[in-house]
Amino acid sequence: MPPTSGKHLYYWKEILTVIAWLIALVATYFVRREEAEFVGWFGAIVLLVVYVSITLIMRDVKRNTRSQEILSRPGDSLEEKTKSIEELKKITRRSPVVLIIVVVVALLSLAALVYRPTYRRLARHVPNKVDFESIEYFDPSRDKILVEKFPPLEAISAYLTSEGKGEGKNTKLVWGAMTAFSHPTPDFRVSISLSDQTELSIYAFREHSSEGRLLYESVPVSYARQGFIDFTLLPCDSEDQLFFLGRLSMRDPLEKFPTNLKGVFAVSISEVQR
Amino acid sequence: MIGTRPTLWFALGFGAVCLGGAAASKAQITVEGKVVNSKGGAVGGVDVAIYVVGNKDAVDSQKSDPNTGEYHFRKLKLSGAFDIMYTHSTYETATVSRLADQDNQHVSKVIYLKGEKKPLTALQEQFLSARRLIFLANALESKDDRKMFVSRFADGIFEAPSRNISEMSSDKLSERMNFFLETEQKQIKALRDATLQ
Repeated sequence: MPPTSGKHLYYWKEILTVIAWLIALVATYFVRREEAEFVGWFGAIVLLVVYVSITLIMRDVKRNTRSQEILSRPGDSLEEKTKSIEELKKITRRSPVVLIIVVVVALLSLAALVYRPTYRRLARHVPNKVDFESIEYFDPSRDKILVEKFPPLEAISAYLTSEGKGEGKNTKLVWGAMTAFSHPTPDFRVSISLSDQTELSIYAFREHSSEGRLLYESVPVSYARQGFIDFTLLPCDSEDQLFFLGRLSMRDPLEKFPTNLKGVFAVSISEVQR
Repeated sequence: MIGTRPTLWFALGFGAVCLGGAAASKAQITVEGKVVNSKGGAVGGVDVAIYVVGNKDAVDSQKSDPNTGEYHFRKLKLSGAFDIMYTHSTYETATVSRLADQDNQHVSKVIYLKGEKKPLTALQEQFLSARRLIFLANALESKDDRKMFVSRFADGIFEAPSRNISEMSSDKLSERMNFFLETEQKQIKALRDATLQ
């Protein structure tokens, strides 16, 4: 109930709060559109439900008071008293319904707020298996779409090729992508095992989607274990994908390059030791 | 006033002769050396580049010899003390800082595979290399140049700040040394982030 003194100040405060909320929402729309849309719709629905509930409760309180007055006055007619009793019965029936609606809305609001962080926490685990979605020889002129999607690939492929020439080796570029994660993951290690005949130098990246945009982040690679290349992945979201561009060379210069790359490299995973 | 004129002309002439002489005497030097791995084996195909502070591009660069790991820069004319940077896709980037530009230099450098465990001194040197790269980036005026300079070496040397010290060291770590290196790691991370902003 609004206070009787300083009434204007009370209403202005209410109006200014709504204006501030709308301005913040509009401003957010231009910065974080997805969140702004969600907050806007969610806030509007919650406000509507709260408004309807409060209106019903206030009306019931007024009717309740009036009925009590009628029933306590000795002079009123029996018909009016019966009407008041009926009114009280209606209010008694409606009150739990309004209360349930308010509680349900409150619970849904709470669930909407905690759903994403809870899902991320509960569903996050190291995948049982990670495999190549594709692995093939890279050709900058043929794989233009990949380069358009992630322009640094052009510079990386040029660098890897020039480095290979500097080593005096026969080399071919290899492009590989792992299957996207179906759930959030904690930090863990993905390893590619190499055959004795092959050498591989790679640059690895994680593709992550945020607010409708694709982001690429460099993934640390380790060559410390002989015969393996290890990637240490930081926590990922579902649909994140690991991919790499590498330079393959054969230890024996007379050896032919393999045609089926999936048969040469194997992927395994392990948890990060703490 | 009349008496001071010949003195002024003499001073200007003497200054010009001195400057010309200094430019003419700028030495042409040779920088050579070898790149080896932690087992002492020659590493070929390493990009060896000469940098002078304030320049975004290398003064000169070449690949180490595929068989011997050697490199030779001849008749280098440098405008000041210089750094050598060693870059390879499978090895961590390493630097040798502030070499004199007036003398021939012979620098042989040990480089480590990415992720390879190394002695504490080598680990600390890796941090110094990262710091040096950040410093060289900060000497550049343009923000884009700084970003490009750091991103050129992003893979490799800057991975060190995000790894566990114990994962990187082949020596046993005392609590004191762990604290020291962790502090250094945090500082590099902060400096790198500030450079990229």
